[in-house]
Amino acid sequence: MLVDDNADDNFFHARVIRKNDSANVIITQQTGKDAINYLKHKSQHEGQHPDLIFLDINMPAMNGWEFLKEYEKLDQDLQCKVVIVMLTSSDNPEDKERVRVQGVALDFRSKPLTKEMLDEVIDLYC
Amino acid sequence: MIEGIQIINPKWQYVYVNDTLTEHGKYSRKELIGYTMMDKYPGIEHTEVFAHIKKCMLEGQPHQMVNEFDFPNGSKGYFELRMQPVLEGVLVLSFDVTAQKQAEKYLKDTNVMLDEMVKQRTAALELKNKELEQFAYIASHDLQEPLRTVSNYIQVFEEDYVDQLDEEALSYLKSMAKANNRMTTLVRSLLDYSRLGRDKKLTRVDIGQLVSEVLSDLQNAIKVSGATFKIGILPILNVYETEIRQLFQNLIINALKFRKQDESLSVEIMAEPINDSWRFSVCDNGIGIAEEHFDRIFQIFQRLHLEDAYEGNGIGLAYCKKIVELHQGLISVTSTLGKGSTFMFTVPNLKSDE
Repeated sequence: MLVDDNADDNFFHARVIRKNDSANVIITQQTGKDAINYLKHKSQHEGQHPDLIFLDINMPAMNGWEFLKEYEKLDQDLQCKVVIVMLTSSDNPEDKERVRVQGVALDFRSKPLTKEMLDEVIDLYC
Repeated sequence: MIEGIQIINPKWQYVYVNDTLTEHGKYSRKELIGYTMMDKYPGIEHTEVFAHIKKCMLEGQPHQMVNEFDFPNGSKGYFELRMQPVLEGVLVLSFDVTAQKQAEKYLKDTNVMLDEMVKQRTAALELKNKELEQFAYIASHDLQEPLRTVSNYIQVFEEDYVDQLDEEALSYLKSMAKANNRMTTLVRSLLDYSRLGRDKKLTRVDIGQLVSEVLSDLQNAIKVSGATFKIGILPILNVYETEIRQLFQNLIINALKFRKQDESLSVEIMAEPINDSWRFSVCDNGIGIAEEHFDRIFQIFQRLHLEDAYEGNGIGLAYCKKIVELHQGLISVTSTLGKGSTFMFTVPNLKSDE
């Protein structure tokens, strides 16, 4: 699942995943709220529950950090295997530290998602 | 006569006053002679001036003081008093220094006011500077996203339409990608630049050790250039470690980059203590810099050479300047075109944050 308010980024990242043949289903959500709702209603889309989430941080209304807080409250069964935080700026030390401290997200990568990044993440965590 | 003269006898009575004193004291001679000091100035026995006169009377030694004096009419005056023991008692010479005192006070008040103004303006400047830095940070941060989108779509375009594009169209696309990449680099440099020293701590660092680490990081580039390095004895100082590492790295990379092609490069890195700081120098025998460019090279995005001749973003020395200023030091260059350059910077002994 891609969670990003930027439709262009969603388009591009989905395309990279599709071209790399890395996922059976790609779900894109443009707000943190919609993403949480999707996860909550797992029963309504059986077989399409995400294993891997790429999460944008800078989003209006519910940003990535707030998403992670809500996500943490979900039943274990509704959570997915891996959440990767996607950072906008290459190496903001504050954001990296926050990923480490918050602990729900397993790792972070810098945008844009590339084929190499995707292979590496799947190799490491899936 | 400008000096007031009065003689006080051991019973504290005025036995002699001159005309000037009657002007100073605002009492006529008739009102003073035969009366005691306490009659005329009730409470005077508790004052400093009384104590001095008393001491002079008892010890027979001259005394001197400046007295702040409240006139019966409420105004204030300042008198320099010189007390001299005489046969009749104590002779007090008084000089009206009110004007001088007022001038001193005015000067002092003005200085305090100026200090205050300087403080206010410095604070205002610091705030403006912070705002500018914040602006650079936010701007460079937010500019990255649209740039990435452009670069993503260039990639998509290349991948999906390569069959439908002729050579010319492809070369245009390449130029777009190149310009976009360059802008991405510039924006990222600007972001890094504005981030320098944010929430950093001063730590005790062995600069000699740090420089040898930088040299070992750069060993490939050094090998290619065939440069020889001479490193003097370098101090241990409280610095922002990452930034100081970057500073030396940038200066060394510059020396490597701007070397002469027909002469082997040698670089000297030295340090000497000067007053409360250390002055470092990085000296090379490279291509040198013309004097008219000495200031410009430290400004961000300023370059002296064509991209084709020497690649770069015009940011390295701007970084260096900001890092040195972060340490409250100064950076400068001396150079002769065709002979080499010496970059000098100071790092004061700063107190550690730890």
